[in-house]
Amino acid sequence: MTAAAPEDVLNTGVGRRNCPTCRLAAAIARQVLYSLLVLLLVATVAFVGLRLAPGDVTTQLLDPVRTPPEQFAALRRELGLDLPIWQQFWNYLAGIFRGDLGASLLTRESVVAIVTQAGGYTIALALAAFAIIYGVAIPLGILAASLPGSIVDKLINFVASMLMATPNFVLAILLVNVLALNLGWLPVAGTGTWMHLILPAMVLAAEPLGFATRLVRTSYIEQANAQYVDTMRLRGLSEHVIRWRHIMRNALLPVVSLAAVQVRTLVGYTLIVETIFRWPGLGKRLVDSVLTRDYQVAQGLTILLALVVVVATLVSSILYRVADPRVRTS
Amino acid sequence: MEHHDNITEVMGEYRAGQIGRREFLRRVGVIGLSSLAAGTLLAGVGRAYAQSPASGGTLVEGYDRDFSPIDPVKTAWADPAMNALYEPLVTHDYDGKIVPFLALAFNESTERWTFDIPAGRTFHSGAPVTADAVARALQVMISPDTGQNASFYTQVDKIAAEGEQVVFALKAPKHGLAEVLSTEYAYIPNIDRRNEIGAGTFGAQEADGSGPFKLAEYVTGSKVRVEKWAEYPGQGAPHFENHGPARLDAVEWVPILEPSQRAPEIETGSVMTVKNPPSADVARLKSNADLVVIEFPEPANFFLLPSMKRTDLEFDKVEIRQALSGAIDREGIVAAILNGGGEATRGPVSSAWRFYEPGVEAFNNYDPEKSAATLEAAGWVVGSSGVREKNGVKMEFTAIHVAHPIEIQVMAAIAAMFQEIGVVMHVESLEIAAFREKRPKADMFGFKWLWAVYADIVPLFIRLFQPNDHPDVAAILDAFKAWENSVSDDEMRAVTSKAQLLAAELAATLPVYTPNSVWVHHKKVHGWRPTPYGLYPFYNDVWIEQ
Repeated sequence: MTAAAPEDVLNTGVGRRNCPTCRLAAAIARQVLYSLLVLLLVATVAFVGLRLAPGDVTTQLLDPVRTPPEQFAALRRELGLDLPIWQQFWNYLAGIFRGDLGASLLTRESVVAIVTQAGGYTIALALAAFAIIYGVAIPLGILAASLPGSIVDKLINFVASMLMATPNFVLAILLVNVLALNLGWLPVAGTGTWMHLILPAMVLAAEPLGFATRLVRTSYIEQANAQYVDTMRLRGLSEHVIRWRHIMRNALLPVVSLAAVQVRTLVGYTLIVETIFRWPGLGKRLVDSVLTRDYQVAQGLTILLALVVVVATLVSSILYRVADPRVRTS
Repeated sequence: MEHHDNITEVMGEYRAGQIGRREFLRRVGVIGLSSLAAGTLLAGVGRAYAQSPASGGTLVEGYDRDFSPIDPVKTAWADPAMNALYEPLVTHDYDGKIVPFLALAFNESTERWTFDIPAGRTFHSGAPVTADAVARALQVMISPDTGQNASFYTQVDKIAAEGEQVVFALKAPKHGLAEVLSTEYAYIPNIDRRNEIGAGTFGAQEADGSGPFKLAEYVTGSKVRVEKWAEYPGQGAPHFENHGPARLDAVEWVPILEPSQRAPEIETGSVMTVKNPPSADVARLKSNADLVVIEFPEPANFFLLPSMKRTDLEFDKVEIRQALSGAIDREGIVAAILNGGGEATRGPVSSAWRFYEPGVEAFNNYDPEKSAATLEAAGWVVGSSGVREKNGVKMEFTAIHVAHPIEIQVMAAIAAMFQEIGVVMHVESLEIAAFREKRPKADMFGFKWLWAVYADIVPLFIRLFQPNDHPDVAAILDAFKAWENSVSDDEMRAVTSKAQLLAAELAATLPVYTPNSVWVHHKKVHGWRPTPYGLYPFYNDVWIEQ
């Protein structure tokens, strides 16, 4: 039996299965498909959920006490809310596939325009929060792990626990009073300069920061005590190489996974932070649109936020595969 | 001599706006003036300074709500930007008297009202503001097919333009017509432009009125910005100081939905005015020398409406409703929950109304023992579970209300008060859309109305949510109907007295309290005057110290 030529291997199913790039591509394709399915499900749930809630947008446009019922009926006709529910759903799905998310029932603004406008603010806020979370959590976590049981370690752990335990609403009030009202270093709320971003980003980052710091510490200590580290030392690798190339790389793997989870957390927290700091992002717009039953906007934003989470999960999954050889070859 | 020259110099600089108040006080302190003398001097200089309004600047207002479309025809809530963009035919002056605004003059008779429209006026777009344009806008507002306030104009037969006059032909007298015309829902938009671009777009992406400012930006949930309309010819309402174009370059409203942020936002200067800071912060704001706090009763009332359709609970019987009403400690609610920032009400309206009838104070007084005795006498006896029962029916029901921080506390307090007399009220706090959906079938609901024309709004709730064939309801509605058709202030006063007394005694609604409306502005903002009649200020008089 002679060994097969490389091109023969590639031409067989076995060869394709063994090709790392092919496996990665296939995994990504599967996940993309899965993500699309999730988005479709989210779109359906958003549509149904909003219509199950009592009331509709017409009571935002006309006062139900003062307005004759005929006007409500006319307005519902005008907005297409009198159509059978299946037809509304069909129109909605057809719109999504055309890339048309519709227009606000309240202001007739296109949902795409709303998303573009508010999305920029949310992205800026989330990026700033991520910068704070990982810019602070990784060095602090490593510092604490490098000095286990020391005062520094205990102090970092305490601060991390405090950040995790403090509700972001309370933290917001505290920071506003100290940094804005008493010290006058930062603006209380609003937009306009990069200074306006600091307080909301700090509040948004607080809890994930505490969690990430503890995770980095734990993960680093776990890796530092692993057998492969002793093996490397016995093989004469320098401490610098062991620490920064091997321990660090493995210690940060859970942090990569955590990032995807934290995107979901941040999306949830933006609502409170955006309301307190008058930050005109997506979270607040989403809740406003749900409360006012502005279906098109609520559906559009729900899909967008789901897309952000799905993409973050996808990216983190790919990064995980790239970073961890065990996952890559499995 | 040199001392005198220095003070004159500092006063001159302050008057010219070159130095601020703090710098003024610091420098006169250095010169050697006592703080008392400096304060007196400052007040004098300030008065002189206040006489010369400055032009320019953007007024940033903190608003306590999210924005609604700025369309007088179709919006469930009127925002302050209405006062900058549009003009009403008439308005209230600072004493509550109706005066002309867009109209040059008006004339009332039992059969018709006329309003003189000034010649040569235009909307922002350049379209002419003629009597015909005004009449057509008002026709949309009074038509039951298109006007959400059509029920307030039932006495109006038709509106037409006659030369430069808008004429209201009446089927029956309506002395209160001008009151309704002064509300935001009768401000005059360019109705042709509105028809052209459609409701929704009009009022958000575009607005065309004849007010001193033009709509520049409307971002839902973020801001509304209006900019000075340089061609504004001014208007003639006698109580305004400025009869020309606006002094401000722009006004911007930002929603501060988190109540605890309102005080810090004005204290740090990120906004120049703010509406309704939490009552807990009001004392602190009042002690701030840079701020002015204005407080007055809101044209509003929070009430409970026990549905008379719940005959099993005997809500159709006046003594049962009165018993429930007597269990409510209104003073306690105002003191503990509103921090004193309001008024306990025993009749359907607050004492701030010019037609308020003090006789209502004989009703709805807190007396839980009497309430318990009344229920006992009616056969509602306390069962083994501590809840009153009659014929196997427990005095237990659900009350709904809008989930507002203050009202959540008020409803919880009332539930506890009812518990004291053996009545169980379950409270359901709902967001506004759900509340509006459930309200028609609720056992009881709590709600705060906010409307400048008290005698229009009070019977409206009773008419819509209580059975109109019930004798108590019919009696109250008849009494208010007489108000609608009265022909003079004196007649209005007489009929509203009767209506208020009947409403208080028959308790078709249980009045609870009227909250204060609190407005705060920086001292550098001048001419900003919210009023109890229309709430929001008009912006043409407003100017900012530079």
